[in-house]
Amino acid sequence: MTRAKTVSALFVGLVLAFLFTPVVVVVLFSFNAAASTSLPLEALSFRWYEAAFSNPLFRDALRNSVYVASITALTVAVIGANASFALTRRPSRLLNLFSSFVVTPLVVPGLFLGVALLVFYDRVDFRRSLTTVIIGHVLITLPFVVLIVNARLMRLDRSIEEAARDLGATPFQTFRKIIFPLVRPALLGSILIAVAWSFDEFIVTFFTIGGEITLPIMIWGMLRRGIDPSVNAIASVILVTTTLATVVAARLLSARGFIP
Amino acid sequence: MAVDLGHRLAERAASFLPARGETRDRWLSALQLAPVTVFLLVFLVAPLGIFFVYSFWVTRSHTLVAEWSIGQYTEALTDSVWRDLLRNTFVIALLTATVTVVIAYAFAHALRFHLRRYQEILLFLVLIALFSGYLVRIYAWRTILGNEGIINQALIRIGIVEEPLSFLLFSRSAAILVLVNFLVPLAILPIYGALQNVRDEEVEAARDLGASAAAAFRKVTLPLAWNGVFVSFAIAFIIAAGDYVTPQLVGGTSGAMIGRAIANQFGVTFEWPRGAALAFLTLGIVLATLAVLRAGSARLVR
Repeated sequence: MTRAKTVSALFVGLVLAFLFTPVVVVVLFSFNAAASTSLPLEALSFRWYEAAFSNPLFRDALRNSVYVASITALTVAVIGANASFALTRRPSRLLNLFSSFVVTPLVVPGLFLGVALLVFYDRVDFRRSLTTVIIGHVLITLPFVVLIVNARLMRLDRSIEEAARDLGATPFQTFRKIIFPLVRPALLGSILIAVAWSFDEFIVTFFTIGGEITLPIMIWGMLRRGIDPSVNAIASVILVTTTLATVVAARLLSARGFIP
Repeated sequence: MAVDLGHRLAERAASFLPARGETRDRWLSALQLAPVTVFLLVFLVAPLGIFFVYSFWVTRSHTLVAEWSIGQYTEALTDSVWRDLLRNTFVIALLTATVTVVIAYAFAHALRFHLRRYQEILLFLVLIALFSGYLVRIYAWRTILGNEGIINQALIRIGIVEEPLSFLLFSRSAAILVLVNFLVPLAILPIYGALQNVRDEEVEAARDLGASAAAAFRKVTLPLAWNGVFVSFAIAFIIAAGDYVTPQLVGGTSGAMIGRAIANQFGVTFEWPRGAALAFLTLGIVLATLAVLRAGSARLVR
């Protein structure tokens, strides 16, 4: 190993440690037998998980989060993938412009989107509920789906499409038998990313939710009320879900699918 | 530009007329774009539009009145409460974005040039970090840095300090640390993508022609990767400037930021026009800064 390599490896290791420290801390303390937050842990236990799962509020929040994430992912996949097909079919300057429009929610702070939606719902007398939350989640996950599926479609060799047509396949057959199977991994990957994002989303949810709660909203409430170690168990439930979704997504896409 | 666009459209339309397959494709494309277009017009453009209009309205005894005024903007710029908050936000966001991009660049550079064999797995870890908890990540730092937290408890146990170091949490540096922590994974991706455009031969050619490693980096690698670097900086800057949770949970007084104040106008106090004006002012300042940086860097980095 050259010196540059050693230094690089050391640096990369340090950055990764920095990135994963908070995550590790939360998971670690979710198994802590004591309520204090000092290391080393004296004993391990599942008591905070038991506390969380026996809390009806938690079960409510979990159900709502799963519901919101599923509907969000399905909606965003259908409208996002369709947009991607249109955006990549015959690229033009106008369509490029439209692509940047679709990606806008990514570069507007979540807080601004959240309060803008709050103001809008009030204006049009749209009562806030889980539906209004789902709308917000579709808005912010849309860029991910479109970017990921776009990237896949643009790398697709279009001549196979022509080949299929030349061999007598109808446009629909070409799509169903050729194009869709090739795009499916990217589509599934982007759906999982949407699930991961939605499951963890706090800020837009905070401003667009009615009387219900989702997991991040519940955590927020607990943080404001004071120290309750079962918050670590709830956070770990979110972490496990988002990490699993991301791992599978990354496998489907190969990590490069995320590179713009 | 609109005229230009219209012209182009007409041109394209004309060039497409003869082929029947193309006409059908265009109808299909329009059909496929319709849902996203309608969705974005209703739930992005309209809300932001209304939000913008409200920033010029006023409230009277807790009701919105459609009375046009730029009072909210002038107040935000002259009243020291808002001005200080905006300045603090600006400084924190700028520092955050700078630190984030430096770390992200060094990371992506190491991956691309020195740890090529492990690129996939390392990138994979970055992705997991990116999607592993925003709120969770922020509050975890309270467990680490707080008075009852890991660091202070350890320091007390070892006997280095007797009282917990309260400045670890609720400070400007704590806010920056936490923001950097969740922005670095996001910033790595565009830079890594841009570094893919740098071919080894280009760097080698520069070295063969006698350029030092530093000169090759400065004249070849960095200009080629600059777009990605700038995109990362812009994303980090915008998100940091508009963050709400970090200043609330770890910022304290010196780490106070405008996001919390904006949110308060929609909760605690019913001052929507002020909240809207503060939001657009923040966005305006951020975008103007980015435009200046873009123009300045175009001259410096090439």
